[in-house]
Amino acid sequence: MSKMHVKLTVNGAAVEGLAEPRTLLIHCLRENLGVTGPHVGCETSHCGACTVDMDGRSVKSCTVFVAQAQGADVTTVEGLVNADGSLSVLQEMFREHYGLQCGFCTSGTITRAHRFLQENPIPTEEQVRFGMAGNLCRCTGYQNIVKAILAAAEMMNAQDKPSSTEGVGQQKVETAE
Amino acid sequence: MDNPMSTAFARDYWMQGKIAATKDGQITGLWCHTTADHGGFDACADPTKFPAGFMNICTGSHDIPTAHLSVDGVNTNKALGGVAYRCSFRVTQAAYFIECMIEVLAIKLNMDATELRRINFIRKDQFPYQSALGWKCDSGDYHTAWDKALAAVGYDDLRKEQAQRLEDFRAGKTRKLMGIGLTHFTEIVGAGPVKNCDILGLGMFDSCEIRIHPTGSAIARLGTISQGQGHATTFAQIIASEIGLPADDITLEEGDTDTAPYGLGTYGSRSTPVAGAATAMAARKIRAKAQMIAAYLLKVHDGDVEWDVDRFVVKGDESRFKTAKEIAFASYNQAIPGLEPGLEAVSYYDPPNMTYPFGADICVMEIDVDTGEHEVRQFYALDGCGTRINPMIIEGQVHGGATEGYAIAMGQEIAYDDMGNHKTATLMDFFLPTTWGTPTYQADHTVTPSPHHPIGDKGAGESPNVGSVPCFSKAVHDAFRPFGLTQSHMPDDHWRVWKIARDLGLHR
Repeated sequence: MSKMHVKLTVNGAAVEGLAEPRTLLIHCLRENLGVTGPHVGCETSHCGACTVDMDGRSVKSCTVFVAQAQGADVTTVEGLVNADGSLSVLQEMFREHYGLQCGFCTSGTITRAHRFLQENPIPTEEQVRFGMAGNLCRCTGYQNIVKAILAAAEMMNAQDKPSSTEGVGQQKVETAE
Repeated sequence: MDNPMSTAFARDYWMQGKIAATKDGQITGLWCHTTADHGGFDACADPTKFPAGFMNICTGSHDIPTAHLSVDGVNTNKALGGVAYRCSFRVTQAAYFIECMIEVLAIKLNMDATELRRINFIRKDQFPYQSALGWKCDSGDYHTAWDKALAAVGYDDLRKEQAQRLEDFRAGKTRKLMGIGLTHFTEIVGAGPVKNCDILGLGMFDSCEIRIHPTGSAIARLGTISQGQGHATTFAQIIASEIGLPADDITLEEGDTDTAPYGLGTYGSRSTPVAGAATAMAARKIRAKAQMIAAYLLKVHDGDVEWDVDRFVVKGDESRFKTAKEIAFASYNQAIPGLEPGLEAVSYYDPPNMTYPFGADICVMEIDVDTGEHEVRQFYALDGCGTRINPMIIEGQVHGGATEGYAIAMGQEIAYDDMGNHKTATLMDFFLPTTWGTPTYQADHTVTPSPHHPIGDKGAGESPNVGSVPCFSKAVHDAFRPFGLTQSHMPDDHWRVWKIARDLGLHR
């Protein structure tokens, strides 16, 4: 099959190269670019282990062709750390609240949670559970994942100016419902 | 799709039971016949002399003087069978069986099941308890756990609320029923004694090798492998408690067969009961040598020093001591007469008995009779895994194990149609709980150490699965009991629950 020229941004770095159009984004990330944070789970977009952020949306990269990611801005779990390489508040809360056990789903779960908290910075527990339902975990029973996300939301909001987050939060809560 | 269709399945048991009891509720005998579907062939790595955990513990937490069990294993044209994870030796089925038998007995005797249990629980003073199935249960305090669980959920108030709900339902004020599921399970894990348990001729001991470096840091290698159970934390804590070095300075290495001591791996809640025991025993060998080194350095006899958290202290003089870290350095740095240099030890631990964790689960469920949908309003899980090493890890095991139990009880099934077509080959068809609908768990505990384990641990991974599966199912049974339901065929998915309601004539 003839290859096509693909250009995209992965974790802030511009990458380009030749890829078969049928190449899946997850395979391009892991095998061509060595970005192994997103995992290959079910390969049918049910489990969410391959979740990445693409142009500000959570996508399951096992069912996105790399051709569809042409020109896209892709962020994986590797790109969520702070500029100095330390864990982000969200990652730290997963650690603090034991929001992972075997870790297989964790990179996808955290990447989704990262986007979810931008969609809805002041979520209720119910909204977290609804917003995270696309990421399967077989170890934790989700309890500590939900706890970690709620704790991260609280900490991130405490860091922001109270007036601005309040407005954004209310608006987003309505959208989520 | 190939994976769910062609890889192994388990737990396809058809269990029939009879239970004998006096009119006042004293159980006198149990009979069980199981037809077990093993698919194309049984692919479970069962210990040769311990073919199924089911057979060893299906009397549960009860003092039942006589039991008779039989099993027919059948091969079918399904994929290979017998490979379960999280309770790999079928104790979940055993718990399901005895819990349902107790439920039926309570109905027959018109007794409250909570009281029926109190009459039949093995009493604390009966341990070690020789069961009718040939095993010696190590320890337990079931009455205390049971009372604690019932009090924690406000059991009497729940029953009052349920009675009110039933009245409202009958008066046409609501279409939702309320069910309360109760289980008290006893597990048999920690396989196991070499005299009883082997895999392909290898005894089911386990092992730990600890090397203390001159700096006071350490590396421990074990015959198990963590799959997310937090071994690096738990085993480092065991070593830290035994030899007084900070857990953060202890590295765990598992799973490299070039370097690991021989062991039988992680499953059936055996890591801490067996490899954890080996860890404590290896650490104690190191501490025994450390004592000699400390005595030499302090210029006293070995018996004149005593251990205190992280140091050996001269008896009666707290100002004279050597810390574990100082001893570690001295073991490589000093020529001590009669002692080899270095500070390391290995233990191959052959457990004298299995361990017998237990616990109580209580589930409060709301059921919509018109749609068959349910909502788990409350799930309380009391875990009695003996000495608790890391509570956060144990509670994590409870959350995860109970969620797997929820899946098994409330929807998980490998289904075929009449033509043998596989109907549940994707994760959309095969029920895996998501964040949405998965219950929130209240984890609680009692502590009844195992008397034969070096630090009293019994294992925690399987228990929440074993207890929760019957608990969820029994909440369904309980909701429909006033209308004549005694049992149902699990899993109680929406469709089956809807059919239960229809068959009981509850639909308009």
